[in-house]
Amino acid sequence: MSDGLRLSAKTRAEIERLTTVYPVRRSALLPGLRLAQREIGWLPREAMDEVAEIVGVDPNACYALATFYDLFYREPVGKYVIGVCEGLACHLGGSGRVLGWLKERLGIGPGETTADGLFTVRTFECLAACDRAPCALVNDEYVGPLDEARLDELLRELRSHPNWSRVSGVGGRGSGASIPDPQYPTPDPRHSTTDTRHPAPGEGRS
Amino acid sequence: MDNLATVTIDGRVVKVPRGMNLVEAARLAGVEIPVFCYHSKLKPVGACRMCYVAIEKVPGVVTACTTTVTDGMVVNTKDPRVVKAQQGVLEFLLANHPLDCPVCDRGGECPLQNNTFGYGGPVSRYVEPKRHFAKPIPLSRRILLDRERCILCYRCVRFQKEIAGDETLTVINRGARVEIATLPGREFDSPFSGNTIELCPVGALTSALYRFKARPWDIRSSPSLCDQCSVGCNVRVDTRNRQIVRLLSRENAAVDDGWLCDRGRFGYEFANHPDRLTQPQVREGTRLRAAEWEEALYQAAQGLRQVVSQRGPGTVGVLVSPRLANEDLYLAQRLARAVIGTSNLDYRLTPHPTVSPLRPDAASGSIVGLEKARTILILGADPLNHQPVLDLRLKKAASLGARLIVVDEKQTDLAAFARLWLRPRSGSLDTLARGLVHLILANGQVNQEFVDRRTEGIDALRARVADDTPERVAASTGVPAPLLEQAATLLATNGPASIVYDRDLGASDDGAAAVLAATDLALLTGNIGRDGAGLYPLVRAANEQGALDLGLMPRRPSPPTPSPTGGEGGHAGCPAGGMTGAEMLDALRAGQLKALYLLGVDPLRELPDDRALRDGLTGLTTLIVQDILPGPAQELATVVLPGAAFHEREGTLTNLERRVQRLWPALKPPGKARPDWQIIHDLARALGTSFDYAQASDVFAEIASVVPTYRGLTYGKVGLKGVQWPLDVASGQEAGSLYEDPGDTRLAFTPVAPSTARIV
Repeated sequence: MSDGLRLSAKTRAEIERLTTVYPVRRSALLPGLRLAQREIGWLPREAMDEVAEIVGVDPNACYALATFYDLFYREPVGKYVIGVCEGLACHLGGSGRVLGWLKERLGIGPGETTADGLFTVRTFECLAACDRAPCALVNDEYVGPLDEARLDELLRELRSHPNWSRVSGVGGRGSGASIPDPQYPTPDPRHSTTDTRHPAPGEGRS
Repeated sequence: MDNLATVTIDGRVVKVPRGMNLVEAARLAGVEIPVFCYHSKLKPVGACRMCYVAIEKVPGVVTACTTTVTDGMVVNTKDPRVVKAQQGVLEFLLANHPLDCPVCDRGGECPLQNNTFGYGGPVSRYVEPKRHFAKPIPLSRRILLDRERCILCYRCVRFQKEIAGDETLTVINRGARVEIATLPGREFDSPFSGNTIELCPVGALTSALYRFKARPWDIRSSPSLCDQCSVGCNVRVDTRNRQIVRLLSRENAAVDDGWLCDRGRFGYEFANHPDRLTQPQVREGTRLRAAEWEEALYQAAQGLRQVVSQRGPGTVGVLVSPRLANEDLYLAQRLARAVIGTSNLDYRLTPHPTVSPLRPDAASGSIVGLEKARTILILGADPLNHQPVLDLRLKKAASLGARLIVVDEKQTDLAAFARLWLRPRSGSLDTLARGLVHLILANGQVNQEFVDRRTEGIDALRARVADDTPERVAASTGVPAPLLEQAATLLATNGPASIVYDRDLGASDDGAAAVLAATDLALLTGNIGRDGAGLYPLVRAANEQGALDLGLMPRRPSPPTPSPTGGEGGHAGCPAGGMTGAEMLDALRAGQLKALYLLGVDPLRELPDDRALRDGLTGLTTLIVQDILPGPAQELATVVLPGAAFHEREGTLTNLERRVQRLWPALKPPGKARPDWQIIHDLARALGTSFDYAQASDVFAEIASVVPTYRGLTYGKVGLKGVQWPLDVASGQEAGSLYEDPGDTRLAFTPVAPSTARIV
């Protein structure tokens, strides 16, 4: 990962392992992309192509999948992506004000990243956490309900807390609300290995 | 009740197969259900919602394409709810679809236009601005995308995935932002991409070659054939202002299944080329000058006469292109053998391959028969490169459940679709094929009934492959023994099985033995002579099969010369021996040929640069070049005769499955150019013969009278869809697979050691 656009051997190996987990090799594409983004922080073309190559699908398939999902970033984002919910409950609860405070504090609006590369602000349609309106998703962590004071505290914490992970990474605060790190099953011996429909290059010789 | 369901559609009662969807059932009932995303060759997805129908006892309206018939179903396609829903669908589609029909290629032949006219409401409630995109996006050098016209039926993407088996085109983004796209910077590089243009129900995908060239109503259309390879896909030639503006598929389910490859679809520009030969030319000193036909033919005849009388007919050679029509080839061989008196006649410039000992020398089955196969062995063949649309048929067979076994060191396109991919080391194809024969014998998987009744020579075969044990074969080919076992077992037990190989494979040493072993495999397992069980030596050129059938090579059975009283006149006067094309080129290099007649062939263009060859051509007393475009050999010619392209003449081509198909003239040949058969005819007359063929069909009638396999064929019988030879003598219908009838002659296992089996 010399240029920061390519996957480490560890991630490659993990994706390789994932391809044996599912009855269909190609099912590893989605978790594979997620692992790639966890490592690099976003999904550069090089990483997408790499995942496609490991899984053995056309790079177009990777591109289609990555553009379908809102949480895959195809451009670099800040270390912390603050996604403000704009669903109905949050809207009524003041998500507009939250965005306004962020603009005041960070100088950026939705879709923008601070010059120091620390923060990206974006919006979500609905985070399905209406009980915490107005809420936001910071990387994989829910925060909310937000008012001005709590937002300031959050920003202070993000700036100072070294354990906050990168995008799609491990939640750092142990709040229990974080999206769990992907846990993938080990291969089911009933599947894989006997499927010779898609021989990998070199297979059939050894 | 069997497997039919009775359904009532708009009051019409029809019996249709169970499992059929309502769009197809309505078609059978003579009722039109409008569609955009549905296509009979693609899996239904119900994306466009245009095909709404109302079904009794079913609430609301449902999409016909995703609904299968059940017995007693009563369907109404004109229910007020249906009418309203369809108007709504069109109103939504047109909310964003631009009304640029007057400048859109699709205008005049557009399903969206037609359905709007037939099923749309009178006005739209949408007054908002439509989407605007940068236009067009070149998806490839061939295909452009105007995104604002796209109605997202996904036919193009589905075609690529389901039929072509690739993902060279995809869908990106989500919801309202969805687009058809490729990776940024990546070309839509499928060899079958052009089909998406025809599938597109709007003008979103357009051809870069055709774009803005014509409108559908000022085009003239003519049926024809693609002459780029041996599949012989049926095409529609669209012309305007005496130029081809596009080729479209003219679906022939038996041949092309409605698809064309890009080479065929877009490869017509040679026919429009400004350099097309339009006038005969004769040599005057160091240069060629234009001449009238009479003069050119006289010069050509004189040149041939002079060489024949001074040096003998053995110094004259005739080389023909295997892309020429049967009528051309037949007359060319008559001219060579009966008029000039030489057997130096060939359609190949390279040595002939060793071929299966079975006769006739042709594929035993049909293209569509492959769909019935349960196992298909693809031995050293790469249809994607040489017979592209056959590649689609093999993928279709695989999707219908056939197990493909690909034997190729290269990773061919089909390897990804194969159940087994065996990669023998270069040069070990013969060992591998013999290893399969050994395994089938050793494992007792021989079809004994068939072998006893139909074949001879199994004992010799048993002895010859005795040493080809899996262990030895694995060691020398690098293919693991278990894979060999699996392949042999599939072939022997999962029938019907077909074997497909490149006929040119027999030109290499290991390939030659593999070709012979392929025949042995087919006979051992009884896989020959019925649908799904066949031996397919794949020829490459458009009429290579015709050249084989009509004996366009020396030392092979040739058609007898017809007697003036009708019927066969025997082979009197036809010289024995003769040189093959490769031998002629050697003789040319050695200065031993004195006259050469090139029909659509240019050795200087087709072979690597070769000083001796050029000198040989320069040293010829007479060099007659007949072609449609200029080539290097013409600079050395004494006479140049302009021929006609495939769409400017009548004639027939015989494809790789023995199907004789017709060409029709869509245009006149440019200038003074003439169809090739006519030029040969005229040259023969200039040489003093009584050749008298008024039209191409006269030549074909003679072919049918003297070539046994073509007996009973006429232009009328060949018609628009072609006919596979041979016709059944009694019924006059297609006989189907070769070797079907037990008959008296037994099919022989490879009789001799491969090294001596080479025929030419």
